[in-house]
Amino acid sequence: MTQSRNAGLGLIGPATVLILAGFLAPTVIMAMLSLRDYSGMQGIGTDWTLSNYINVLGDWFYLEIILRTLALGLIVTLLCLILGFPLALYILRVGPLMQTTAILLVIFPLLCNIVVRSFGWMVLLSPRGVINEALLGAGLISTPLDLMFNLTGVIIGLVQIYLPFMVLLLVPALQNIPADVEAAALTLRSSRIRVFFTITVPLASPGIITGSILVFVLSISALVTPRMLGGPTYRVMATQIYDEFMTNLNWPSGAALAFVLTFIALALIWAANRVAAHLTRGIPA
Amino acid sequence: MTSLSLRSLTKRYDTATIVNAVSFDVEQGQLVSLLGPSGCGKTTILRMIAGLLEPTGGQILFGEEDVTKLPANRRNVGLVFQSYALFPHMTVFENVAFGLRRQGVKGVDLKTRVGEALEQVRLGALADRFPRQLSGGQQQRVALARSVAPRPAILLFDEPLSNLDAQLREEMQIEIKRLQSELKLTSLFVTHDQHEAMSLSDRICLMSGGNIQQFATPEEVYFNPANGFVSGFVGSPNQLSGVATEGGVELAPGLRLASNRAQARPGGRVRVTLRQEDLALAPAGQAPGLAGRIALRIFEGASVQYIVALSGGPEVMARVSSRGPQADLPVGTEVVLSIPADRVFVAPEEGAA
Amino acid sequence: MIARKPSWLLTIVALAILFYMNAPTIVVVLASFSDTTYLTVPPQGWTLRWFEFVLGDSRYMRAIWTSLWLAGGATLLSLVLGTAASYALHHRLVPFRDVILSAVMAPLVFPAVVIGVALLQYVSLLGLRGQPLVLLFAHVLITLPYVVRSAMSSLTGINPQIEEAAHVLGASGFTAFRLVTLPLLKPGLVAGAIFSFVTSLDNVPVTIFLLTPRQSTLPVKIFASVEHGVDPSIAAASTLLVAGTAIALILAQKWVSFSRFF
Repeated sequence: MTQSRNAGLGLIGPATVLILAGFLAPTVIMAMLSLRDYSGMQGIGTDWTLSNYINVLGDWFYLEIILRTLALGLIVTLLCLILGFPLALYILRVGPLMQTTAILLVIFPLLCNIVVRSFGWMVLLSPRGVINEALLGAGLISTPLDLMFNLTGVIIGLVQIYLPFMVLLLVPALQNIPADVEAAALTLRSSRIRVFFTITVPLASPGIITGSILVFVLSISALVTPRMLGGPTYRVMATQIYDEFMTNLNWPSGAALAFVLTFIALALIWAANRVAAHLTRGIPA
Repeated sequence: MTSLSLRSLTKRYDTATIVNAVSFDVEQGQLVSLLGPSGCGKTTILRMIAGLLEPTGGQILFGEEDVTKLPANRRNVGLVFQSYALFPHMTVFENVAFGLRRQGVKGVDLKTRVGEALEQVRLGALADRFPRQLSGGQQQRVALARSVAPRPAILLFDEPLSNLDAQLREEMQIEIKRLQSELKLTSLFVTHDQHEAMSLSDRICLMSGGNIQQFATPEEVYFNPANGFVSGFVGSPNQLSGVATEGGVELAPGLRLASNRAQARPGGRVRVTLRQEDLALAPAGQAPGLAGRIALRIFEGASVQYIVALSGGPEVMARVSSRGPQADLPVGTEVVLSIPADRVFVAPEEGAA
Repeated sequence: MIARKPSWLLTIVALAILFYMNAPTIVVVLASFSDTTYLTVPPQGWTLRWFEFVLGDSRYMRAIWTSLWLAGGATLLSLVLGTAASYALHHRLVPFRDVILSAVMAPLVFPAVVIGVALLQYVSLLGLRGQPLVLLFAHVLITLPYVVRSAMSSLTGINPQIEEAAHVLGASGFTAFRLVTLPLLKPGLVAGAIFSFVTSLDNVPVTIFLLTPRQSTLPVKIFASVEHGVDPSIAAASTLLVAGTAIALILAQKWVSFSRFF
């Protein structure tokens, strides 16, 4: 057995060293940095303090950014659910050829670069972009609509970017529901809509929760899309962290904000796993 | 080919003893079945012999050679798995050639020996197929050919027939028996199916709770079971409870059976094992015995099963030949049941010893 | 689910959503062929001059090469490290299995921008900013979870008795892995490798913090260029990225069925 243990350590060693030195160490050091004092004059100090966290959670400037980010995440997640459900149902019901095509059309944008897709939205949404030109040309509007550098633009972009994840999690969740269960409910004189909400949705809920949490966490962590479609003035947590580190050079403050973001993300994932495990009690794997 | 000996073979996990100092021998060319309910330690023994599991104590000998410390790939055993465990990405030919290639067999020699092994299981025509293109029975025959091709010292079977349907199972049983006796392979066959064990084995090693209950020929195990567990496992048992008496057992007030296989002090709560086919049944008044009334009659083809409600006692099942004189008793008939004293197994109830 | 044909309403809604999901990519590709100095769709006359411009521009070319070797190198390294680690974790050859597995998967659940700033600070502290190897290891860190996830799920799908059968038939541990396990893992590893490659090729939120002003990858270059105004050359560079992704996707379909994504 010692032989297999040595082999095991040899196999796991390189990956573990990489994680320890490349991920764990930087995270711990940043945690320490977030507890250092900072002043514009002296830069990063040597004293321990909680002031960075107090600033981030107490200052209305930061608090607004945090709340805006969470609200954005919530809206994007809801829209992804609303758009994801019909698409997932369609994929499950349509014939095999169209099914493959539809799946490809869901996966292709997923694999396409986020910068490219956000850039595509800039081309579409800008004041002289495709949509405004078309609407102006058709005489439906007289002045260009404000579709970009605001909440609308960021939402349109983020929903498009994270919708594939939702669809790819909803399809198997719905697929794994045994047809017999729904048929049984129908024979028990339930209407189709009733069956959908009392049988289908609850049985698919682990997939729905997993998909929603994934989309939410990715949305509140997004940097590229909010920066490109929200512009420099529409701030969310990720763009603010970027600015603290790259522009303001207030690293301790950026580090504190980064940990607030991480905490929200990890807490949500943990809670979702607990809820999903609770919901799957009666459902065989 | 060589003999196989286990010496006090033991496997423990923390405090649980899975195999408790088991010793037995399989003579050269014999087939021994390890029979028992799931969790009795039979598969653990097989895996230790194959080298897939390290024993906590004891020795495994192939002939005179102690192989206890040898890794699986240097033991030269053949193992037929319940799940077949064929290599799905290799053809039938490559599957059978795998063990031979590890022994350095190549070229014409390899072709000949793979061909021979496939002929032995009558699959010569399917050498180029992939496992998924074969039926379950064919896959298990490939697995059989794969394990005998390298001419193993010992051939092990891990419930190889339990994934097959009833008819295929019988065919494969014959196949295994034929191949094993033709090639004179020293074999150990793990199963939980008494019929499989009976029909295949030279000896049966019946196990329970990590201990050997009886090691004997199938006839001996069937006709002369060592204890109530064996009697109940080989055959279809009635499991009843009662109170031990001097020279017998009382199932209910007034319902007494004589027993000379009692292992309990009089007055104690006991567990009584009565094999259904050991019970003789006759219309009331024609013979002495326990009085009862037929509650249910089930025609099974070769036999007829009666559920008999004993007067003031439990229900017992009795099985008689469907061509015998007692085959046509209607429900409601008053009957008497009798059983020889040496077929009444009485053991202290668990926890009440 | 009960099998049922989609209604016409569901069909229209679904097709509209599919169009929405692919619209930005289509627009970018179309715009890159436009014979104008400003971005417009549909193109006013077709030209390849923006591609010529990008492929002739030394900064764009350097960024493209950086992206390619980074994605290729990170994928190769994650395949080797990830397969070895998954094998040890799956077969429980190491203590603290669950802790190690969570640690390896952690970069997947941590916000990318947080990993980016943590590495920025760490690398500055060590004085290694701009080192190509640092970039490579950072990318391995974010691609490794994909390989491990794929490899672990493939390993779970392999009947453990198959490797045991190989041992009993005389194969040593490594031979059994090479001849039996590895071929069975291949589809999973290919899927993991493609996800790794695309993830590395796409990454901005970690990469952007680790580059010196003279360095760039293609997506970071596009991201930075947009801040200075948009023109069709950005669309052309984007189209090149899309083409790279499409090729990866076609290769993927050749190797593994898309049902693997579910």
